Amino acid sequence: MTQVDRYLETVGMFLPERQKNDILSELSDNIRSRIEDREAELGRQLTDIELQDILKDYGHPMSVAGRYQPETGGLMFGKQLIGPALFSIYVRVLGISLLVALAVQVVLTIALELPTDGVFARLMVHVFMQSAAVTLVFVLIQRMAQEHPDQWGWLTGHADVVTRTASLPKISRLESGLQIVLLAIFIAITYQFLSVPDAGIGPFKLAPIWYALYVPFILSMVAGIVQSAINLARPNWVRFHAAAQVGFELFSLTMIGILLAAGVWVTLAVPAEATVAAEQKLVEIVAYMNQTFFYGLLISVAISLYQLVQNVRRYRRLSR
Amino acid sequence: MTTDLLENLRLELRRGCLVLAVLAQLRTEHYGYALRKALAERGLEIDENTLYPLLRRLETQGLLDSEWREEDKRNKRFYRVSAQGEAILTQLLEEWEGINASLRWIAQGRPEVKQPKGVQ
Repeated sequence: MTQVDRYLETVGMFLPERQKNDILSELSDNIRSRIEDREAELGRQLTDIELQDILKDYGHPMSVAGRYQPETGGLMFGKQLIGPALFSIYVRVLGISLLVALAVQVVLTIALELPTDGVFARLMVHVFMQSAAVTLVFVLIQRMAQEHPDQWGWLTGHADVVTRTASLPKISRLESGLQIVLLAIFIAITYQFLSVPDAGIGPFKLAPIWYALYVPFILSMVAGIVQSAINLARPNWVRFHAAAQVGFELFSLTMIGILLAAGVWVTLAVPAEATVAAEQKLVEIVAYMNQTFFYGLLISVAISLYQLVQNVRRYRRLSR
Repeated sequence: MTTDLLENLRLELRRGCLVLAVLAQLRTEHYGYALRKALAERGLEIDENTLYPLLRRLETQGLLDSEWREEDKRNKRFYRVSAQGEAILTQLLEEWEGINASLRWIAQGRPEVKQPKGVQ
């Protein structure tokens, strides 16, 4: 795949599906015409750097695609606030976040057996808060991009990051470093909670299944740190990264399967001085917690499956 | 600050003129890249990211017709001003001439003297 193909592929990710092929064909022809003109001028093929310069001149793929976005009626106020380059991403993120808001409300209502007559009001408040938060974040990004184009301008197509998408794929060192730090924190938390079997957390205890999985959890996180350290040293080992991710997702799915099969994730450690009424209340809370864990694990299965498919596709694409 | 202001005002001024220039240039059929070059040769540089979405918008508005054709072993999209586009272009050019004459009068303090035909 050439730099131009990769660039076009990235632009395509942000284009409306209906017009995608048409716009990409035209853009492809324009870019290639420009390359041919430059090559004719120089009397030789362009170097990778010269090719990158042409793509940089076109702008960041997100910004290029943003200019083709259709008018979106009532949401047009957002285009003024957020700018055309980021607007399509804003609409997508808003849509996804609203779906998540809906899903969270449904799950909470079922899991906690909340009264259904208040669902609509709760949903409206949730939707309003979430829309406001997403809009605010995008407005801030746009303002930052305007005020500091040297650092943030790449988001709106003013700076020099085309290379990042057009050059050979690499795993960001920042991503690898961050992953090492996060996994170290998770190992510390896991050790804190699972190293002493039957340790209570207030009036609650983790079910035995968590302690049974303590060693595999720790080993998988250590493996994650090793993989991140390798990618920190060798950022261009993208196939290794993709293969490792496939392995981790398969491991996660196995662990989630075992956890789901256990059926109980939190148990009660009733203090001796607790009254019958208090104990009854705690039993109810434990039941809610277990239901929440159940739905949480189901969501984790869906996320892991999605990630697995993505990583398998990525691995296959990189192997071509 | 003054540079930013000037840049914004300049862009605003150019925006309307670009539509006129594109429609007028497309009285002859061009594909996107050739159109951009033709405009640049006549002193009107236009950014790709402005031109191509503008072409699509003008086509959606019915002012341009387009068709995909193969040229130099590549598929290219050729644009030409439509009948409706031509009618609108003629009116817009008249409007532009009027504005131009008024502006000269306002800026220079005297009306533009039109040379009778045949006088050099």
